[in-house]
Parts: sequence; structure tokens; C-alpha cells
Amino acid sequence: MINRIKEKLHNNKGESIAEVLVSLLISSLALVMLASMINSSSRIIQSSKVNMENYYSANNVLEARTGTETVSGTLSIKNGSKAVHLRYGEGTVSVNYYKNDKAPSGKQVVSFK
Amino acid sequence: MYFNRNMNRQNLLKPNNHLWKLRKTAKGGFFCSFTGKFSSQTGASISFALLLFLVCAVVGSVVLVSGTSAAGRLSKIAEYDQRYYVVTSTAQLLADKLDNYTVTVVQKSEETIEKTAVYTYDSEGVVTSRTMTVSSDTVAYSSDINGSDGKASASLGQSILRDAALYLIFDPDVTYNFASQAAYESNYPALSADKQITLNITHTAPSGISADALAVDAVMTIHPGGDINIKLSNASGSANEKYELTMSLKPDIKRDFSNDSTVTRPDDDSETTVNTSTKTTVIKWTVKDIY
Repeated sequence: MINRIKEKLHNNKGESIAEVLVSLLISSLALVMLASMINSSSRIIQSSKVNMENYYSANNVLEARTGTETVSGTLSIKNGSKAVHLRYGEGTVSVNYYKNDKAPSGKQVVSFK
Repeated sequence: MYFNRNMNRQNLLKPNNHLWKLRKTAKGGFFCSFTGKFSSQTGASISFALLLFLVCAVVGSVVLVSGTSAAGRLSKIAEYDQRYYVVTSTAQLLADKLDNYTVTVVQKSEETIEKTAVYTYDSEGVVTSRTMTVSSDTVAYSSDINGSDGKASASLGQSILRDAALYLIFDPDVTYNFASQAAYESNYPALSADKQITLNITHTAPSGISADALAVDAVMTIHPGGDINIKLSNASGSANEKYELTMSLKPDIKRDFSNDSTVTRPDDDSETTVNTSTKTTVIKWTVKDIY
């Protein structure tokens, strides 16, 4: 196989103009396709990087649980169907939720305190 | 296609010429065509162009896939982060509420002895002797859990650590009546093996927040010595998706026993003695570790 390739490369026989043109067309198509794929990939990575930075920046607020945009709700504990108080007299505990809406595809990350 | 000097139009139409060979090999499929191309004496520009196309397509696809997978990873990160924040937030809330929580258990026995004077007289009605005899002897038992909890009955569920104290000092099933002798005689450590309690922590979240995603399952293990481990994990999701975290609480247990006796004499002929025995157990839990 190797010998045949070497032979093919060393022989000096010509080709038709049509064959050369088709080859050139295929080669240029391949190179254009490769370039556009690399370009698209680069743009996706750049956009992903920006999203990631925004997401983690919002997560820092979430981590500290000091964000201003909070909403409140309640937390309760059960053992089977029986309610269990966290502390005596505290059947439910009021909590504040902190949201990060910067995650892609509409996903939400929530912490609470 | 290649024309050598000796080739003429007629040769082109012969079955053994180059064009004919190409057609024949093309009918035999790609592999035959490819091997035929290498064995032929004509050019190979199309073969190499196709090879270049294939290489470019593969390399381009790899680059594109790596780029899109980097973007797709972010949406997965949000899911993982949500699970992490739910469990850590719950652990932090429990730690805030349970750290330095104190439960005081007082078991009391109160014996009341009532004596009355019994006189003996001689024939002339003069007192010859006076003895104090026991007219009644009763024992009352009581047990209270107070301190941080306030006085309460023996039922479970009034607070997590109060339940733990009940298991540690009384019967593991906590069926005692606090006014019984059995309750008074129970001592720490009553548990001979680990006691596990499963807890479900749920939220009533406002609109816009998924309460299901915030639900956490907890398994509280009370060790006979009083150490408590609370294992927290996400309620939803498959086992390998759940984030797990364990919080350990260490007890500081102080026990005290005291006796007291009070004698009252409402009049010369009666006497009441109250003997009180008090067992006090104070358990203070502190959060030792979250891991």
C-alpha cells in the first residue's frame, strides 16, 4: 500500500482539467466548511464563557445569602405523617429564598436561610 | 482521466482502456474504486480531495462538538448547584437552630410520710407513752423536660433534640407515663444500639420556586453515647445524582442527683415528712462538624 502511494506520488502522468477543477472545488469546500465550523465553535465558547461569568457572579450572592431580591416561605419537618418541630414550639420555620436566574435554559438555582 | 500519447479515440472505446476500467470499478463500490484508483496509472486529485474533505469534516465536527458541549455543561452545572445549595442551606438552617440547644430532664420521686401521735394511757387516764406512727406513706413520681423546651409531655415530635433526649434517658420507644415509677428509674444511657429516625424536610415555597427541588430527606442517627449524626440528601433524583452531607452533633451531658427531706408539724400530734429525690440530666448539643 505504502509503495503504491509512493509510486503514485512519484509518477509524472497528468490529469484532465475537469478532474483538477472538481478536486479544487471539493478541497475549497472542505476548507470553507472547516473554517466556518471553527468560527462557530469559537463563538459558542465565547458566549458560554460570558454566560458562565454571569452565572458565577450571581452565585456569589446566592452563596452569601445576602441578596436583596428575596422571597419568603416556610419549612416543615415530618416523620412519616407526624409533624416534628425543629425546636420546641416551632412547627414551621420561616425562611428567605435567594434566587439565581442567570443559569441558561431557564433553570433556576435557589438557596435559603 | 489521463490520455497517453499512444491512445486514440478507438482505444477509448475498447473495454480495456482506462475509462472502461473506471466505470467497472465504480460499479464494484467505493472500496474497489479506491483500490482501483491506487493501482491505476492516472492522477489521484479527486481521491486526495475527498480525503481532505473527510479530514476537514471530522476535525470540524470535533471542534464544533467540543464547543457545544462546553455550553451544554453550564446547564448541567445549574442542576448540580441547585442540589448542592438545597442540602447545604438545610444543613446551615439546622445547625443554626440546633447548635447549643439544651434539654433538661428532671426525674423526681416524692415520698410523703404522714405520722400521727398514738397515746397510751393508764387506768387513771394519764398518758404513759406517746409514739408517732405512720398513718400513710405514698410516693409520687414526675418527670419533666424543660429548659429550652418548657415543660412538656412525653410525646415525640415536639423538637428534634427533645426526642433525642427522650430516647437517651427513657425507653427507646418512649412509652412511659412521666408519672410512673418506671420513668423515674430510667437512666441515661437507655439506648443499647443506634436509633434511626427518618425525617422529610419540605417547603411551602412562593410561586416561581419549585418546592419539589427544595425537599430534603434526613436520617437522624442517635448513638447510645448521645452523639447525633444527621445525614441530609436531596429528596428527588436518582441515587447517584443526590448531593449528600452529614452533620454531627456532640453532646455535653451533665447529671446530678440530690436528696431533700422536709418535716412539717402542723400540730403536736401530726407530722409530715417529704423525702424528695431528684435526678437532673442536662444535655447540651453543639454542632461538631458538617462534612
